[in-house]
Amino acid sequence: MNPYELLAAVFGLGAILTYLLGHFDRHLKTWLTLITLALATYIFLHLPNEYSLESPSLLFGIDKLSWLFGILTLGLGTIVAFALLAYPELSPNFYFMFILNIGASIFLLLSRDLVAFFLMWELMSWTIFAMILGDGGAERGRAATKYLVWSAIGAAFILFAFAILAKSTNSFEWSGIVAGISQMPSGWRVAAIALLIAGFAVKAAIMPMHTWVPDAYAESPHPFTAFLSGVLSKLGIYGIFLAFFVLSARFELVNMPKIFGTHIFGYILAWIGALTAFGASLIAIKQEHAKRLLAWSSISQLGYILFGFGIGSAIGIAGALFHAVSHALFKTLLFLILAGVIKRTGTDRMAELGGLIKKMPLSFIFAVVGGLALAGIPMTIGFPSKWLIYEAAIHQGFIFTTVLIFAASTAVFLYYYRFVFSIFLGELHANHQDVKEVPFPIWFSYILISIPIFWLGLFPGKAMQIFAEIAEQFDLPAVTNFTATTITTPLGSFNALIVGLVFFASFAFGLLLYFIGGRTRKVHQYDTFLAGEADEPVKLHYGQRFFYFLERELKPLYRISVEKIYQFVAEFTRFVADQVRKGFFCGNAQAYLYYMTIFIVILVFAIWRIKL
Amino acid sequence: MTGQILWAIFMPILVIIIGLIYMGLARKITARIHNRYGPPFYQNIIDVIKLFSKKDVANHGVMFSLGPVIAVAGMVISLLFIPIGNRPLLSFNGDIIVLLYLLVIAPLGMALGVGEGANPNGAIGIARALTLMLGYEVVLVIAAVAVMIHAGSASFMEIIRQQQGGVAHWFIWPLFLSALATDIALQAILGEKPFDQPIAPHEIASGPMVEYGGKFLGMLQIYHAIAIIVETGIFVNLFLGGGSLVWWFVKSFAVFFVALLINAVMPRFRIGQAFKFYWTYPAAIGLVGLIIVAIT
Amino acid sequence: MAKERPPKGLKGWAQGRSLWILQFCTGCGAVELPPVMTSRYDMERFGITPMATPRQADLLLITGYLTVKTLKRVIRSYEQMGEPKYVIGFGSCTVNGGMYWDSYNTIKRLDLYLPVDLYIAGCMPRPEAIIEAFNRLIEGIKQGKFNGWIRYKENLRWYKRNQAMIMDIRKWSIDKKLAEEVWREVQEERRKIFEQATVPHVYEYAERISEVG
Repeated sequence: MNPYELLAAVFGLGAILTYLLGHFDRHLKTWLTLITLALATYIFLHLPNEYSLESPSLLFGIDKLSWLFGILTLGLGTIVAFALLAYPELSPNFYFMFILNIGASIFLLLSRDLVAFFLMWELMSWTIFAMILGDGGAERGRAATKYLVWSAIGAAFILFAFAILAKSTNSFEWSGIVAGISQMPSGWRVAAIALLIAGFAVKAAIMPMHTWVPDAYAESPHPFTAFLSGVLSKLGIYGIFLAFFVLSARFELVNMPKIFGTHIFGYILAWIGALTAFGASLIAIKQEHAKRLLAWSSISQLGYILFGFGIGSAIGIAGALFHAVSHALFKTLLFLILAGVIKRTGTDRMAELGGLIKKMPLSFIFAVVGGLALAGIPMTIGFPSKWLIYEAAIHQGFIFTTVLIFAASTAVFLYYYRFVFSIFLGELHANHQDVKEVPFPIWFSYILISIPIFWLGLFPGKAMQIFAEIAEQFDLPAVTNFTATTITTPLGSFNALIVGLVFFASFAFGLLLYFIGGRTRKVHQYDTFLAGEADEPVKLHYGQRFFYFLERELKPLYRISVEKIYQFVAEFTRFVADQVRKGFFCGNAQAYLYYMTIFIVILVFAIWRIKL
Repeated sequence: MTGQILWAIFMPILVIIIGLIYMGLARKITARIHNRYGPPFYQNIIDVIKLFSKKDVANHGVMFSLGPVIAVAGMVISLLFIPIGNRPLLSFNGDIIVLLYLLVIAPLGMALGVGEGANPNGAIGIARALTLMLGYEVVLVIAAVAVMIHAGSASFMEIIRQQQGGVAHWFIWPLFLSALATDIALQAILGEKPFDQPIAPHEIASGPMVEYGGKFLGMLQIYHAIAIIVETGIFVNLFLGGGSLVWWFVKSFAVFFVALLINAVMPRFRIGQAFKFYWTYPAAIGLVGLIIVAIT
Repeated sequence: MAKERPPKGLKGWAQGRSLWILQFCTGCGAVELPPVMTSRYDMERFGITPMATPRQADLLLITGYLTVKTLKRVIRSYEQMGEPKYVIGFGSCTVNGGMYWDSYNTIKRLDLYLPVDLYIAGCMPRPEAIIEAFNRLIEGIKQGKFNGWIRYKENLRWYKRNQAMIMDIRKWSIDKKLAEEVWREVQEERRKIFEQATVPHVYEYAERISEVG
């Protein structure tokens, strides 16, 4: 049997079995999920290049790009499924949708023609909706419905664009479209690609299609948010890459007018990405709920990736792909940590948490690891990707957007510190004296995700290899000047391993200073400087409105809100429709008689004319 | 190679001592401005020796103890990536952007340590420090991008190389506005008035240092000493052309002297005022400088 | 525990030349400190400078009278300081009660509650006297003469008993276990004193203050 069919069978059977057998044992459904995913990964790694299904005629295939995103999906999906061992309360429905979702995502990455792609895209979106709903509830329903509406809008854009492409190039397959797109009139070409990008931007949470993200991320089941933010938003990125670089046959890189050496299409995309990154990170600063904070952080980081694509040079594309990979890793880690905290304390309002470092030290250590990656500190995977994007931007002459994304990067330090401080540092809340560490499946998944964070952070060349192959395959400019540990760009070079080793030497120097000093005594958390006062039963945790002085200064910026624009449009439409309704359905019997009379007259007239 | 390693071990110690002397000289000069004598110029070295010999200081936990350790480690590694006296220790392995991110490790480590101290004053100090950082990083990056575009490279050694050949070649002349913006940002990076909100001994009981005593405080003093050299060093390398060892420290002290004079006479801004200031005037100056560079 | 020693040699010299005072101005004597800090009498040339928190300071100046209310905070600050630490008693109030020798609310002998290394007589002492005292302190530290904190640690029980007479040391001590023990021991004595008071309403009032403030 063909491996592709085998893969489909594994996913399908896995889903059905999990759903049916899941009612018998609490952990059985998770184990079945893990087995399914393990089998699927094995098959995925050994797929042959092409496969076509005869009826209906669908085409699948695998190349480097699909391999990269597929490994990311399956790997992180398995790790999240392993963490789900600690959540036996999720229904078998959820696991059914989960397996179907991963299956749809994999086949999405493997599809090589429009119909297969769209089918899988819809299946994936619909299963996400089901999973966001989780156990139900009013808030969840609202968030899930918002997501569904946005997803439908995105799918409509994609479908429209596919229709344009299929009609103009008379082919449903990737290769046909690539061959035929140069013949399309340029207006239709740009329209198709722009619609595609807009459709994928919904999933990839780019402004202004991002308004579903904070609600959906905040309300969905906690371990699932890790998967949603880490992996599924990358499918939107995959789509944008496909639309912008593959399907367009690089016309935008070659045929469009240039501004300062970059093509105008890319320039616009880069600006959108930079504004997304900047705006979302500023909003993340003032969040009071940890999940929303991380949701806005996701929007911001995805803006970085779009920015890298927009630049369009070799380092830009490599940096953007690298950032996609690193964001998947560290965002999954951070959301899993948050899921663990919520599991143990029951709340994600940062004003109510605090001091958990004493009770959950492992979670704290990995929160620091995740945060270092998020902030882009060298030695973690977050840094090479950001560095490449900056180098690309400066090299291409993108001066204002560089300032914007640098400001976004500095804002990361702000909201990340808020996140870590309000949850793990500070004063331990009286309610949380008995909190225990997260169970084994969850902290083991932390370790599993942290390994590539450090490995690729110290040896970025390994990842650069894959990105260079992807770029070469699609005939894009590729980065060639790198070794396993060093990357060199026209502006400068970066040796990750040396940075790591020197940091350890410096750390040893710091420890030496530590041991030179005198002895210390351990003090209780409440034995702190309170201007001479004794410990009172007053909560001294600085957990609320952490950056109030900053929010005060940024108030004019905060008034700009995309959500308000949509609400205004919705209200206006409703108002107009209401007026029309009131105009016609006015409750006046005479008016209704008029309508009926006019209608009968027209009817008679039409029939008379037709008969004649 | 062994020469490099010896220099790598010797230089941080040299920089620590020189940094502490800078801090002591700052106190002396400030005192003279106040029309009094002031402590001897090596006073901060005595302070550090005293701090390391204190015993029984409070220790809130492992992260608390590691905070100053990471602060010192982060600063030492930043130091090794800046060419001092035109000796490129590790500068070929990282450029300006790498340095800007390495500079973040130290405050981040210290902030995590302060957090475990569970004192709200410390947390407020860190919140202010981060807000200020958002303010001055934007200005700094505007100026840095201007330098990078003007030099066509982000590597320190390349930028220094282009400034060799006399005072007329220094970048401060063509990039005067960017240098001005960087100098205003430097005031906050050094933690000098009017931008020393994070420390603010009168408002928030010295902010992050509130629970740190004894050897921890000694390590934070060492961190501050290295930080002064690193930060003025960035300015010297970007705009004043580097220079041989002695000249490098002279230029670095000249930059520090300007910051010191402003510190001696100004009061402190409110944190909101400081942030708004950075995002308006120095940012505008920097942007004008950037546009000028981009056009030419 | 091994016997503690005052710092000697380089450490002693550094400790003396870099005293950091805790900016805790307890009474009216503190008005003499700004002249000492500022241009005319400049104490910073000796390396003495004010610091904000007890964790960072090593010299505690008790400037003037101490009410029981302030004494609680002073003791807490003193115990939060790192060692070696020194206490200087400013003015007559710390020596024998000074101007407030017959007040019910101030303490008369500071030495009963905190180990004092140096007294400065006067009401209040002029800046020249304060500078002289600092110099004597610096000299004495170099010679290893002043070791009040060692005295405190070795006679902790005695100090705690004295403190327990006028305050609830369970709340105001860092070492809670010892405070519990000593508090239980002195309950009997406290009751006896308050019973034998000749002016009952005043001592009752004092007792109520010491438990509330």
